Amino acid sequence: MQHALTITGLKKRFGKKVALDGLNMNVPKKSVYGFLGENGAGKTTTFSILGGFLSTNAGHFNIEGKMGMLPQDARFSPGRKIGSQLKLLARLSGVPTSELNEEINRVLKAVNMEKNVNLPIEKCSHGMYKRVGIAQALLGSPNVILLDEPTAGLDPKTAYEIRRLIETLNHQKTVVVSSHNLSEIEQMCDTVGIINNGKMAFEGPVAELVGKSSLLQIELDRKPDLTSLQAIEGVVEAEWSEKQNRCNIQFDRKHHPLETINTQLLSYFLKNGIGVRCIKLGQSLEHEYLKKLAVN
Amino acid sequence: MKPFFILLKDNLAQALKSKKSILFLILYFVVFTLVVYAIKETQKEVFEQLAAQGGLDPELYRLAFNFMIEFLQINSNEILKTFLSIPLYSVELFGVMLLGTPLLILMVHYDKLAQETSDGTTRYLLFRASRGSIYWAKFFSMVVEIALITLIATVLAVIYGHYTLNFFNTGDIFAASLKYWAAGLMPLITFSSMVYLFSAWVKRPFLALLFSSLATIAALVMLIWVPELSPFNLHYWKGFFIPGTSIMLHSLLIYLGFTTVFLGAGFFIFKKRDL
Ligand SMILES: Nc1ncnc2c1ncn2[C@@H]1O[C@H](COP(=O)(O)OP(=O)(O)O)[C@@H](O)[C@H]1O
Ligand SMILES: [Mg+2]
Repeated sequence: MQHALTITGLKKRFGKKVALDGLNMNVPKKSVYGFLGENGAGKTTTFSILGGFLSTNAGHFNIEGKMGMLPQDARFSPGRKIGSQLKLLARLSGVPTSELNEEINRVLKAVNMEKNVNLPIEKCSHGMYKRVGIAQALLGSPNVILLDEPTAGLDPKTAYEIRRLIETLNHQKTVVVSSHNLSEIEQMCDTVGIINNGKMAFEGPVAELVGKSSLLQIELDRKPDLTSLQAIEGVVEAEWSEKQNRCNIQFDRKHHPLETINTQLLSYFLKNGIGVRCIKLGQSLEHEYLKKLAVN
Repeated sequence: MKPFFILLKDNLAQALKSKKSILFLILYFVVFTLVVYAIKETQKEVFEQLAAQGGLDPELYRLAFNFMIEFLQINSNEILKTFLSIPLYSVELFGVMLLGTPLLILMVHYDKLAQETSDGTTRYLLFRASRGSIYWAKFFSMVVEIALITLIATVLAVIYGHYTLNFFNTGDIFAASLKYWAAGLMPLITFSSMVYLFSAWVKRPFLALLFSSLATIAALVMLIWVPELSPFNLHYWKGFFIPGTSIMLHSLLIYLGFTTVFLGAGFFIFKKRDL
């Protein structure tokens, strides 16, 4: 697979504190990559090294083509208008002078801020500030876009719009997003990397993380007979949750294909007149994420 | 090289718009004008006395000036000072200009890099432009600003001082003043580079201000003991009045050496630092 961003053996110490401890990362081209990890795991440190803010103690990285970035702790110079600030950054990103206004309009439109070109930056609300930060990351159409917690602290509507924006970038650009919101990562990303204590604890497709599970969550209209369910070949354990009207079934995925188990379960429900509302494979990303962290 | 020019242009445009810069600029020119007028008034008396003694003769002044220069080639700085205090008060103006400007540089620019680093505003630039272009563009915008301020002061000195300057060197007042300006600019650039070094080195803007203030004061005090280097001492300006001496060039080279050391050290620190 071709990678737009590769990191190999990256190490960074702050005094005695080891922030990155041989981090490896491979971001597939033209996809959205979710970068997950606890507070202090080293996500921002990684972004900062890629942005050239921090030096490294070891390791190297390679970014293919132009990069745009929303740094976590960066601020705009106070006393400037949004338009003037973006104009400077666009020029530095190589946008020709004749296309400056057009480009600024384009990126501001992407974050729903096109009416605020002349607003002084210090008059922005937290959400607007963040959106200007995201807009500047898009200047000059970079191939690789790194966004450090783009939705943190935003109201649900703005966060939704930002997610939509990131989804529209998928398949056109390589986007790396860090976030604490696992359901949004699950929704937006093709690949995830979980960083723990400065090391990559897991890296792979979201589907692999969530889809390899041997758990089926089936929402039913009433409680089935659990012993008969456990008698079905391949079912290891069946549990009923009254509150959610849900049956959690652990199965032996190694020896029994998912399709066979599903067919058998469905025919059982059909035979016994139990209504099936929903079948879901695996736990949420959250569950798998916590599991990965627990293993490390 | 292109990001350097983009940043230089932007830094200058922002400096012109910055309230702090404008305030200090106004303050500077108000003080400057007051001092110029005070000197002009005292000069007036001298000229009125001369007039009472039988009128002013520009030719006589020129002769006196030439005599003075010959005299100076053999005599001490004290005599030079006494002589120059009459017709050449523009030199004194430059002294005031030079005393005021390092302090101005300090107050307006001490935070150039330190402030931006602590605010994190440089982070938006860092993945677009090299550290070198950021460092040098900021420094050169500072130099251009200082050069412009002092150039305006020089032009004002010529305008205000025309009355007296006229008497000894009618044709070349402006050209001579520009030479003073250039010679005065060099120590200023050295002061700026020292302030800039602290700005690149110290992370907290407050500490950068403290260190560069102390260093500026220390440097000013130290210059008292090195008359050849002090722009406040006539030794430094002697080169202009004694044809053929290299004293000025010598001083300029020493300043250039210090500037190189300060800027080099600052660049080395800024290049390696976590920002
Ligand atoms: N400038 C710094 N000086 C000292 N320690 C730092 C610095 N920046 C980050 N750290 C430490 O490095 C670790 C990783 O931090 P960070 O990359 O910000 O984590 P994340 O973004 O994943 O929450 C944390 O333990 C943090 O305290
Ligand atoms: Mg972070």
